[in-house]
Amino acid sequence: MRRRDFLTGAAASSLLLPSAAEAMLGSRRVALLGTVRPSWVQSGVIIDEDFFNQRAWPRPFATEMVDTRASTDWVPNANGNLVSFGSGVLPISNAYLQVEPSGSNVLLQTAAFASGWATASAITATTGQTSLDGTNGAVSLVPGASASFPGYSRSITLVNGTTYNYSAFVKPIGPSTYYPVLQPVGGGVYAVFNLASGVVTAVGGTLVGSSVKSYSNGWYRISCAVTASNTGGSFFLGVANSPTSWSATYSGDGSGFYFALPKAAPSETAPSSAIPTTTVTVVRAANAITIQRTGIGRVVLTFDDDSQQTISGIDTGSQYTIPTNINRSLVKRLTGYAS
Amino acid sequence: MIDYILKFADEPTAKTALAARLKANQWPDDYCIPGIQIWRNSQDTTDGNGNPVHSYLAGFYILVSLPIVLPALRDLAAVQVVIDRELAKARQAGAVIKSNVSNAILQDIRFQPVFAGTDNPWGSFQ
Repeated sequence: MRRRDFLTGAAASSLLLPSAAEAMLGSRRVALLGTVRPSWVQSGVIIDEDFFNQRAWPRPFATEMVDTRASTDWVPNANGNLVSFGSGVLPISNAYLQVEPSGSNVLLQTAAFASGWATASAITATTGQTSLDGTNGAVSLVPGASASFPGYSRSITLVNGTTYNYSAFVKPIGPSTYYPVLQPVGGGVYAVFNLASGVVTAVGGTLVGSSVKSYSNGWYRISCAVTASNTGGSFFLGVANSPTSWSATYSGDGSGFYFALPKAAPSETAPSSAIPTTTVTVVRAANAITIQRTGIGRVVLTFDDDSQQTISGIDTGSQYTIPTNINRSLVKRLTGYAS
Repeated sequence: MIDYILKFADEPTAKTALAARLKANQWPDDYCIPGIQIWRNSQDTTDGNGNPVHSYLAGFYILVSLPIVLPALRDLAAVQVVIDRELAKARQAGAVIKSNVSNAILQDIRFQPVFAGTDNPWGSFQ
């Protein structure tokens, strides 16, 4: 016996699959009965924004939320590649919603190393390399056999007494038994990064913070923070032949690193999202992401490291704006409850 | 986005004039950059390492960015220039919506910081 739609009595054209008409009628059936909660959404949930799995209930991301920020954001994909989102566009990659306070990059010419960078000591710098943001803005740095403290530098203007987080994306070239180096301005210190172990060695001084983060696309992000002790100097991207020092004796075997999107961010101890620059300093505006409904009294955020944060006591009579001082900037999932 | 550059004598004066834009007496950091630096490219010198040294103009400058042209903001006496960011990035005519400085000065000025995604035609504003 053929199935019949209970609303119209019309016969289905297939015993196994619904016809297009039946599917449309099914949607009407849903609309008449109210929104049906899918199985991946828990009972009692008002909204469930699953950015990591690219699904939302009961409405699409762009219907449920708006972001009024006035700048472009660069957000990592699941594999670490960076995707740009223009002003006012929700910063949702294929894995994360990014929520950050405002930040800036005071290091110039970081988008493509177009001018003002100088090589030091037998290192070959080749611009126009494939970067992780879809451009050819990376540079390759390969020390020669006669290198001594090989690096790539640029002058930078700072505010004395301000802490700056220096960061860069790096990717090994060749057999690469070398280690990337960041020499920030101030404190007489430089940092050598062991990408394999994640260990950061500070040489000649103290760092306020440091980190190594790996991505599945083969890139790493290295960072260190230092408090400026003057109003400027030269910032170096370097290549070391030891995990604990930046010195002489290189094999010249073609090993080195790609570097991309270096950054000097004032008043940060940990790296925030990338901010490419050219001729002037650049600000990333704070996100202002508001959920377009009332009735939410509690929100649970699941972050990129699978940790969670619960925000309670939300005024259910107002639309909720996600604060920018949440525990982490990359949100995999946002779930809203009445209480 | 429409970028409004305004000049005031000092920050308290700016806050009085733009009080409606403040959040708890603070500049909203999702669309304002207070205290931007403005200089004349023709007045740059160089230091001993060949790096440019800017002579920043006196006054308190603020960049306000909105998705629309707001006449009440555009027509303030404090406005220096109003720029359509997307037209400027595309190097298209009409990028300068309003300018209260001469064209010669407009071509000579530089300012920072700018919002990420900006690509101004420094020296050749249309």
